[in-house]
Amino acid sequence: MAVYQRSFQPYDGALSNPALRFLVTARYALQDLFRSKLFTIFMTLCFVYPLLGVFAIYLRHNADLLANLATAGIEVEEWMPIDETFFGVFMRVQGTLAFFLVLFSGPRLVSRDLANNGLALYLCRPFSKTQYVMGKMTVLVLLMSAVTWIPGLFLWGLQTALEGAAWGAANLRSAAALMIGSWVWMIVLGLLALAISAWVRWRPVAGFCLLLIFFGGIFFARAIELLFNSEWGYVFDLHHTIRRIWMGLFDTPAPFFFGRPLDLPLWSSWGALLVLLGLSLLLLARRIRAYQVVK
Amino acid sequence: MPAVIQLDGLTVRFGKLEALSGLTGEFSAGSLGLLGPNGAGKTTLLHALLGFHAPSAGKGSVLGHDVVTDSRATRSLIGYMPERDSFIEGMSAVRFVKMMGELSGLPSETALERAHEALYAVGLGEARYRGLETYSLGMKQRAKLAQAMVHGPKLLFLDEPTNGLDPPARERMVRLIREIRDSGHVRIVLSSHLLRDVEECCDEVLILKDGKIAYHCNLEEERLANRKFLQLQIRGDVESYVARVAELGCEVAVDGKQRIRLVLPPTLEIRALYEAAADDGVQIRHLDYKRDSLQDIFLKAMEQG
Repeated sequence: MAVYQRSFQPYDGALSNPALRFLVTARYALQDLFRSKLFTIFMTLCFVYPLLGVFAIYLRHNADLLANLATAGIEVEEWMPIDETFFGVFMRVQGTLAFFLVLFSGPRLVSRDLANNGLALYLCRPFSKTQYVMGKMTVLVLLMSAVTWIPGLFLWGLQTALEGAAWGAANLRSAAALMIGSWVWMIVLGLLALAISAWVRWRPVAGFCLLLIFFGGIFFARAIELLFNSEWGYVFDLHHTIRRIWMGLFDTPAPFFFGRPLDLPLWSSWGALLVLLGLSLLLLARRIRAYQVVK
Repeated sequence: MPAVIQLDGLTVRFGKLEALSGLTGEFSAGSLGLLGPNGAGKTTLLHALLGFHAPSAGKGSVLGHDVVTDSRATRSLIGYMPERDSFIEGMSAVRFVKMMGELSGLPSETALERAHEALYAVGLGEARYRGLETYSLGMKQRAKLAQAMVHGPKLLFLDEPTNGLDPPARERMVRLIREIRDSGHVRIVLSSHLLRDVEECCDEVLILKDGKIAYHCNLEEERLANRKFLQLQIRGDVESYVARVAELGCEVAVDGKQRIRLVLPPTLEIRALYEAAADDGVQIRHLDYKRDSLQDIFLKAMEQG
């Protein structure tokens, strides 16, 4: 019978795996995101730096080119070493780009469902709140992974393949730091973006909140420092907190703040991230529900 | 017939407010109407059965599955059409319904095929590629119905499906619900404060008031019972006619000079009343069933509750 002639039909066929059903929401959200040309262009631009990295590694291992440059008096090994600093800078650049990807994609992820009471339609099915959040997180994690640890590990693998296993063994910490640093950033930023999206329905305002949390903390930290002569305000500065964690993971010198390094212990940065993570989860738990209480 | 919904002292509290108070009952009709004034607890009951609100006391089950301990299985059997506007902005109707089908566990291709089917079935076939935000209220209601039935549930929860619809759209929605009910594949729980919707679509009625069950009845049985209550207007010797019909086994009461009310015994047909009137030379000028309409039932329930 033609589709347009059919009426209500029961369904007794095979069902998809319930554990993987959260991927449905992720797939639809990704399809929606890539409909935007601006987003697609930005996503493409995020691969420029990793490509430059590939080019740099290629340069370092092209014997003819190295000989020519040496003749011209340019020592590539000194000028552009591939070490923990190289990967640390890669992490900072790509981590910042990941932030802007989330800034573009995050604010609408949950608010779109909340705007027209769509959550009830998700949660009246065999689909839990956890699966809903996992689905939305998957979108952000996939996007951020594509520009952080995946190209980072590719560069590390390329360098190891060209330089030899000894280099890989000596720089194993860089690979681990890339992986851990990226995942910490993805989880914190992803949950924070979802929490903001759940509470702030208007996209520009949600984006502004995310920017404020990321960049505005420095003003608060500076105010605390000037008023109380204490550096502890810097734990509220997300931008510098994550930088300190990355630098700690890569074992590179701690970043400077206003021309000097901070005396704050590294655990304070981890603690600040944990608190932020807890807050984000709390905000999400309060907001992601099938009904809204009208007071 | 196995129970569709079983309630055993189901209580739901929001802080100090008791939204549902110890509801107990077993409902097995093909279509159950939930009636009650605003705030009676109809939507709360549906939400509790969907597992949105944890019961403060008591328990409930849907098609044999406990709504708390087995809520995932319960929800896999239910299609829910919420009362309020519920859709996802920026999606075409077919994509929206397909996604809802996939979330219920349908494989992607099946979900697409069934999304088209469901949208045709609710009369949105020609508009299925349009964005949901461009739909009129009536179309949004139908899109909500399509997403509720796309996965072929065993039970449909329809919460105020005719809310805000103009008369032709309401007629259409009621007809759709009746068609779905008559397909015989799905049970329906229809929550409404409109008596006519429930009367036209449901076999059984549960009337709620202040979170309590005020009345529960089977509409068909009520209708059959009503057929035995008659009101007659006669001309002639009232007393002898009353005596005559009493001999036939009727319970009779004289209601005014020429008007009598009577209850027919189950074995007696109305024809016998005409025959008795002919024998006594009495004219039956008017005969009417004393219908106890759903409105009467509802009003009585509200007074008693």
